[in-house]
Amino acid sequence: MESTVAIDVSNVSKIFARGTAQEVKALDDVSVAIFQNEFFTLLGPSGCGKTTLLRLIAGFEHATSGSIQLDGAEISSLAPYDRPVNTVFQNYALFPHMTVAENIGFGLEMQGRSKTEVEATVSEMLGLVRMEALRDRHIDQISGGQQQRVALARALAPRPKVLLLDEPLSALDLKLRKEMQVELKRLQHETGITFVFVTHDQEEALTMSDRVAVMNAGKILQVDHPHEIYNRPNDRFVADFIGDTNFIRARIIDKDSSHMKLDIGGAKPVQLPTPSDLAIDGEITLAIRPEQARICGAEDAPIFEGKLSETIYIGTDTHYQIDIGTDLPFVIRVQNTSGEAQQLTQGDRVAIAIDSAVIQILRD
Amino acid sequence: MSKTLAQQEGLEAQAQRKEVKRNLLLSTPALIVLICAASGPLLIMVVFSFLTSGDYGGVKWEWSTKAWFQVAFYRDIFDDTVSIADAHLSILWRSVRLSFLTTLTAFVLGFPTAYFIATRPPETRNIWLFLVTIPFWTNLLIRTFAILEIIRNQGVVNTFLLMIGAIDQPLDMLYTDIAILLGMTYVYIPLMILPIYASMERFDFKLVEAAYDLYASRWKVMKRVILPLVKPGVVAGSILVFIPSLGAYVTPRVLGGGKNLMLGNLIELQFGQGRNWPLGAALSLTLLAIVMIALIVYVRSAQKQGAIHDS
Repeated sequence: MESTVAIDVSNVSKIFARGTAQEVKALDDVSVAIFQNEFFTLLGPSGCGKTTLLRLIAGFEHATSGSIQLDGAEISSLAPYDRPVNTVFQNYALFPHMTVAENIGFGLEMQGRSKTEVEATVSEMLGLVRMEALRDRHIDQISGGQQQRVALARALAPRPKVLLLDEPLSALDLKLRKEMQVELKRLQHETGITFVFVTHDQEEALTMSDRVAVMNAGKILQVDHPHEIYNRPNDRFVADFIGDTNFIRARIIDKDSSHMKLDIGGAKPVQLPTPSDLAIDGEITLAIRPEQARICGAEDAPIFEGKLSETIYIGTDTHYQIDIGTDLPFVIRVQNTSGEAQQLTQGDRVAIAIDSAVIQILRD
Repeated sequence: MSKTLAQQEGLEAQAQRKEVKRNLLLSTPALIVLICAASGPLLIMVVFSFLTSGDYGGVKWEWSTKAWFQVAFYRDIFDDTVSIADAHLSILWRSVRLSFLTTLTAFVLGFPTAYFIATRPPETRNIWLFLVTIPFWTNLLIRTFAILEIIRNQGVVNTFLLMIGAIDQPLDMLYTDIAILLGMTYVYIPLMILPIYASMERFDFKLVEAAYDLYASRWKVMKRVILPLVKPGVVAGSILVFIPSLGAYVTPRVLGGGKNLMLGNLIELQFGQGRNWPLGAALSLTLLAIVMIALIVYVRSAQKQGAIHDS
């Protein structure tokens, strides 16, 4: 399915207030390729540069250096109104003096389409976002979720090559947000338009995207499919930002081609298979997802042991915090399938088993 | 059930009456000011306009509609023929024309100024606003004489143009309609800038980005998004400039040199040298009527345009 590149961002940097005391490097030599007909997400904390990258693609900002291509043609010097790219803004930016239908038809009208064509497309778009009944309402007469749909329809109506979405769901309440996530996925499938979605919500990114780019401090750290991002983070920031992770600093004591012995600060050294591509020595960081470790008996080849310091019950899961001699307790998440809590009390010694395949070894 | 309902309604009505009474009490000071300062003088003007003029100014308490007749007609003292009062009509026409042009000029210059200020960073906006209001610090008469100093034959502009050789003879700018227009625009332009700025400050400039994103050119963004949304400010600014322009007195007196009269000067003339107070009163009321009609037409049309969008 991944075939042609829709947007090719190469070596783009953006420096705000250049040459002044307030100089900010919002994007630092960023390169990424976004494929056609893909739901692509830029994920990162606020201030990581994700919105800046989106605004560069939309044409509201101009890159300090680097190039942005759309379908192979350079677009970085074009004005926003000359780019076949539309944006859904964070607070929708709907025109308050126009009706729902007028808002949706605005882009088409500006493109100089005929009146009948505008009418037809507006009706089609209203159907697509299921807003037919409200076509003549004013923007202040409809709810936030409905405004969201109008904003989507307005941006989709001119059939852009790429739709940019700048945290469009952040103003909605949780239930509506879930609904709109499904809705967005559906719209992307039905229209076949490339979506570039910006969010700081990792769950949103994982559930909706075909591919995710994790950003921090003006750089793209990892671009991959959601399950790869979650299961194979290549960077400590990525592992930390997405989901919960246990980090264990470890020192390689002994290493051969098959196994390595690690000192994790606990009582006993830990033995792990040596990964084939690991060329580092000395200090490393291990990342283990809480649900991928389990409490086991001594016969089940435990990797290390610890003392149970806290049990937190949260309905679907129970979190066990286990003191293994490191600074932070090691957390294990166990799904409560049987309805009965496991019979463990604070202070119990427990053994921890982890399938060595799920242990991530991170560069720092 | 119905009884209690009636009782309740009675109680509510009582409470409402009490509320009305209290509101009336609270609004008394405002009402007194309104009656003394607005309605009172207006009533005096209406009464005076129906009296006979005194020989040395003032009025004689004799009923007459002569003043109202004189507003639009002229009776020859020798052969008693009646003709249209051309002088009055041309002054009226000049007043309306110059006020309209002043409003237009103030808008053309004031709108970009307001836009400029509203798009500055918040910290520097106040400095620009402060600069706009600086002329208010000086007396109107002094400001008008300053303009006179600039445009008169030996003034700054002519001296400069003669010096660089652009003209061989000084341009006659003083004592023309252009001079009055220039003076009035200068005096009233802050009244255009400030209300437009006030609406623009509330304007969400994200909408401009949204319009650009949806293929609107700069001109289309202005026409379809910015102007409709800052229209209340434009309407307020136009009213604030048009009305005082129509009644302007100092500017046409100083820069028009007494030969290019406007309504304000004509009215003053009747109360001074003309010694015809009833005519002065009638002319004032005519001015008031013009202003009212202009206002009603303007506001109606503005509302109607709004209503098209609302429906």
